[in-house]
Amino acid sequence: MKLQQLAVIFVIIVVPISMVLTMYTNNNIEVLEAQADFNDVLLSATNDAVYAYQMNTLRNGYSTVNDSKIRDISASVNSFFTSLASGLGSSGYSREDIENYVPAMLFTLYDGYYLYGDYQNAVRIENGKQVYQTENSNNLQSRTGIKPFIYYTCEYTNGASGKLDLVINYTLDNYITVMGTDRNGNIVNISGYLINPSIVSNINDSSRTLTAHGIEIGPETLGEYIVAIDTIPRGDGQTGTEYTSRETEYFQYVYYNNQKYYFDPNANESRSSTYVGVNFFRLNNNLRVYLTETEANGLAQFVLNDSNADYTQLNTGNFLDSSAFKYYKEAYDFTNTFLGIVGGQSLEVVTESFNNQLNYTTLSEDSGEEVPVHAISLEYYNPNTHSISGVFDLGTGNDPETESSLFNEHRMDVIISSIESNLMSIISNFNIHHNSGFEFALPVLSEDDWNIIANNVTIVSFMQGMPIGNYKYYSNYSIVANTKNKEFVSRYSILLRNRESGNRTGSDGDPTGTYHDPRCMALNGLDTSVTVNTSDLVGYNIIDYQQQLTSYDVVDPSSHQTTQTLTYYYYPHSGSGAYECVIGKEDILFTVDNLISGTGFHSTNDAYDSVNLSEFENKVADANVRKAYITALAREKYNLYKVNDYFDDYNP
Amino acid sequence: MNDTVVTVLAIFLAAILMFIFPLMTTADKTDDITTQAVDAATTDFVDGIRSTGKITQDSYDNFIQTISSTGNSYDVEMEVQVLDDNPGKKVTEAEYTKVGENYYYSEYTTQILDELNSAAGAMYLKQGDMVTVSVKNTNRTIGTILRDFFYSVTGNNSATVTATHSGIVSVNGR
Repeated sequence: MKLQQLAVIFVIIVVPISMVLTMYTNNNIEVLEAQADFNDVLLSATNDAVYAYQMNTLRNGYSTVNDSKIRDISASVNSFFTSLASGLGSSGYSREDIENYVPAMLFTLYDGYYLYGDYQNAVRIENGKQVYQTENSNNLQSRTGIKPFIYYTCEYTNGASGKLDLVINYTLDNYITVMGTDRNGNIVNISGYLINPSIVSNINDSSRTLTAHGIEIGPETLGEYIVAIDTIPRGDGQTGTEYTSRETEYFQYVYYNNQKYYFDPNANESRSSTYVGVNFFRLNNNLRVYLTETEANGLAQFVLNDSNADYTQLNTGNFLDSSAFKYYKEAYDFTNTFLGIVGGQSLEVVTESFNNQLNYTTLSEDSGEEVPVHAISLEYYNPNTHSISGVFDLGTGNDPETESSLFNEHRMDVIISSIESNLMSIISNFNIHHNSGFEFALPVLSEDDWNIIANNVTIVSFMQGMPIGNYKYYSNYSIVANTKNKEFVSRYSILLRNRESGNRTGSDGDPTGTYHDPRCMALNGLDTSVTVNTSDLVGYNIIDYQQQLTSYDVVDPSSHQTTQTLTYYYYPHSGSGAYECVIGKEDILFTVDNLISGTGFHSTNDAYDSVNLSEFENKVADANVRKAYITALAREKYNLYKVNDYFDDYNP
Repeated sequence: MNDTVVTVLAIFLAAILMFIFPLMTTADKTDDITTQAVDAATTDFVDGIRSTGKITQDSYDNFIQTISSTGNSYDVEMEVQVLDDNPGKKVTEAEYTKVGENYYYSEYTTQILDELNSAAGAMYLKQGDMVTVSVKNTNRTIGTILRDFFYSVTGNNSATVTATHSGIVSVNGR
């Protein structure tokens, strides 16, 4: 055989092999890129869903009402799918196609969660009434939508012989609702904040002061800038009203019935047609409504803590908010009642999702071994007898207000086990109606992810079974925490600033000022490179530092017809975020537990990855910072809208 | 005479076909597979930052180690865009009717590495910040050398192994 022939044969063998190899590698790279693209699209779509929810809730005065919540969540689901569809549009997927690959979405809220997913419709609506028919039940249609609200619940008994049977509804913080019967069979129906009772002392009802966490809590001055809309008489003298708006103005306010009541020392008749000589108002969806004398007297009696007070006694000096005092006082009373019910009892968990938690295992992708999906700590829970110990033994080591408490660990376990079991079933049910050859199942969520879910209002989306070439399917999930919402005040939602003077007129004056994260080194005097004014600190919820809007219908002065809608954007608190802690994060040192309990900083704390911070070992946060932080956190928590707040029924 | 020339040419051709061509193909494939590995490592690194909200010395070292194990040397460029809503606020306060704008300021590789080497040992980000990591090789891979033997590509974009990934941070680092 000639050399040339050999060469030709060689080429004939080698070229196809190399071509196939090239194709295979290119294919793999494409799959990898597609996967990364899908990750991006899924995360952005989830982000969009969170933004949609924020936009709809932050500027809506009634966003915490349940009907409004469902509407906002539906809108959020819609924007998720729209965003996903436009992100994947170039890959040829329409929204209808995509719905086949999203087995579930999870919306965790303050006291429970909604699941979006597949369900079978057994009901037909006829003339606005629900009609149940065998025909419907036999021929179940698959629909996707939001399923009923599920509370973070756990049920306890004190053994087979005992009468104690309690259902505790948990929330994202230390607020609980307790329902059921105590050890003697008495009905229990109470709700409140659970705290470590030993941190509260010196309760003085007349001055409304007490000591909590070693810090004196008392009445405080609050104020913010607002743009309000006023109703004024019609310009043409006919009956009816018109609307007009004012410039941003600073008002002192107090919380009363979970609502802000403002003090307007300069009010007069020309300002609003609702003015009847009383200088106090509240906002009704940005519309300023001045109080009647009776209402104002109620407000005065509340603020001055005197049942004979009337509104003329109020002035800028005594118009103070004492929500923080009430938070600790009511929490103290509630905790003592609660401890009277569960104290000394050996509690067993009845809730199945909690008890089955340890049985769920999955194949780990890293090691290929069976690992539990989320393990409940055996330190307080016995999986054989289902008994728990120490969770409600409140004390210095177990303060429910802190992150590191056993109560908090148990609370998170309850939330995670409930969400996990419901998600598992909703995702596997998806298989019944979607025979794509792919088996939908709940992926393993990492411990970090569960931490985010159990401590924040979050949106979690799942996307599975999407073919991405090379016989591979795309499967992933995405978690985005909603840190700016009216639902829930977390330990991280308080920002501190100097109390505003309020003498800003129009757009100039008082625009300075910086707000800080309470954990900031500079604020606590540990970063000498930054000068911070720490006099007269006050804390506000993070959403009060966000942009708010007021819009109203402009009426043409000659035709008295609505010509356009004007929208004003404003910030309730002036100034800007500190670059060392709010915008950048490099100066954040303390943990929230350090701030709450007043404990020293430990450089080996797990929350930080570094051991090089030893120069700050055992440093404690500034007392003024702690006071402002603890007061603000208590005040904002106390004034959250809570569905079960009226539960107060227990007579042992 | 004529036959000799053809034989010499044939030997020369055969040498190219039998030795250099397979070598080139293999080297090219190695580069492709390296690209794939580096791409995966970069995506992992960036997604890790996005979902934890922090860049730690540990994760950075791991990332560098992973890509170095492919046998090439790399130039890693990082950029963090920090969301700053302060400028937008000032504008809004002067003109009520203007919606606030989101500004970003950037920190680049050396600044990020400085922070990683500082006492905190990590750079913490917040929700809404953006992170970009791009990697390209700085050495000449065997594939490049062999290719340059026949035809050389000049210019800046001669790196054969490149990967870029970016995204928005979804949680507060602390």
